[in-house]
Amino acid sequence: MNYQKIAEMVHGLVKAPRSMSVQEPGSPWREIKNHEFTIVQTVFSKYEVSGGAALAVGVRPQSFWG
Amino acid sequence: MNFPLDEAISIEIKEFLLRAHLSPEILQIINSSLNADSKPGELFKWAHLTLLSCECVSGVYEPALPAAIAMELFALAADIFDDIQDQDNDELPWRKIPEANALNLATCLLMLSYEAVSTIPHSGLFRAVSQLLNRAGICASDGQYQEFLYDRREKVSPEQYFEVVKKKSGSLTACACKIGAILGGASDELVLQLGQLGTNLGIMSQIRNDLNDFLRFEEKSDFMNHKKTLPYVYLLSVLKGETADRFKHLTQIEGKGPHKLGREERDSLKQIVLDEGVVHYCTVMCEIFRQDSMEIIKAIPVLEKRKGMMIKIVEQSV
Repeated sequence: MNYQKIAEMVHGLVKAPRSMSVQEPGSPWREIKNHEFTIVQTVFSKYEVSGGAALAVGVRPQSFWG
Repeated sequence: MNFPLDEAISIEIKEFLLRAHLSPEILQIINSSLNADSKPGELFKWAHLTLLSCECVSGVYEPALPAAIAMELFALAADIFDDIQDQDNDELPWRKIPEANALNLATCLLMLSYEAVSTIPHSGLFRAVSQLLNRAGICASDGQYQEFLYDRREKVSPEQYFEVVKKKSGSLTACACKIGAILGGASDELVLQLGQLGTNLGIMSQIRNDLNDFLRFEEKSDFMNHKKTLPYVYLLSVLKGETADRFKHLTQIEGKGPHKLGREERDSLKQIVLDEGVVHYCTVMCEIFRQDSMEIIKAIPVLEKRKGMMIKIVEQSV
């Protein structure tokens, strides 16, 4: 998994949401695996559907194994 | 969680501690520390994970009971060491006693966990479980050590972050799953698969905690201590230009004197978090590990009903 590339892709999408909707052969995101690319798209579309509500940074209960 | 099983674990631990002939004082602090940071209905989570792994493989949990107790005590010791190092979670019982005695308590719990493992009757299984527990402890300590070194570094890459988190947070959850699987008689391949599932559980929890704690300035000092949490590492790796300078300035405030960020700086950091996709990135990474966990559960040769229990644990970790 290329963590750095995923970070760059997420940041790019946050700044320009319509800029990287497809994974083309020559794109800078070719190192990201297909299923990872799909996950990024899914997360962004969920946030879009919720009108950005999910972006609110609130305190959730501590995680199960934390 | 399973309340009759909670009761069985509780009785087993009580009897085990009685056999250890501890002083009433240390026994009392051990009893008040067990489950001190658990929510109602989520008691003995480390024991449960070990037992579930065994049950998935063999259909019964009993062979893993001694190791489940060991995991519970081992994880509690690790929590105590962690809180002392981080000077965190002041409300917990081990933070309310003198630090020297908190260290004694954690050391005692570590030794007790090995004592619990030594009650595994089969010598081959005893060796295998001991080795797994040792390796998990070594791995977690190595991860913790590396994490402290990273606190002093200006830049840590997402790759380096995940390497450390896998060691620090993934090794104990992986250990619980592997131990349960071994005691249930799993094949080597199944032990590895369940170990990977356990690693993912630890990583997902760490991502969630990192995101949760990043802006909790009053209770947590992660940001001021330059702790390279995932939001911090993400921002370091993607920000450029003026925003990068603004973030760098915020990270350097402590060095200039004030202990805490002022309101203006807090708002500025919160704005960066919102504008630059910190929540998106943490959610994406969590989702990648969640989906990998689901693929593992789908692939393992385990009864559907027990797969359902594993899926529930994955969902609790996200």
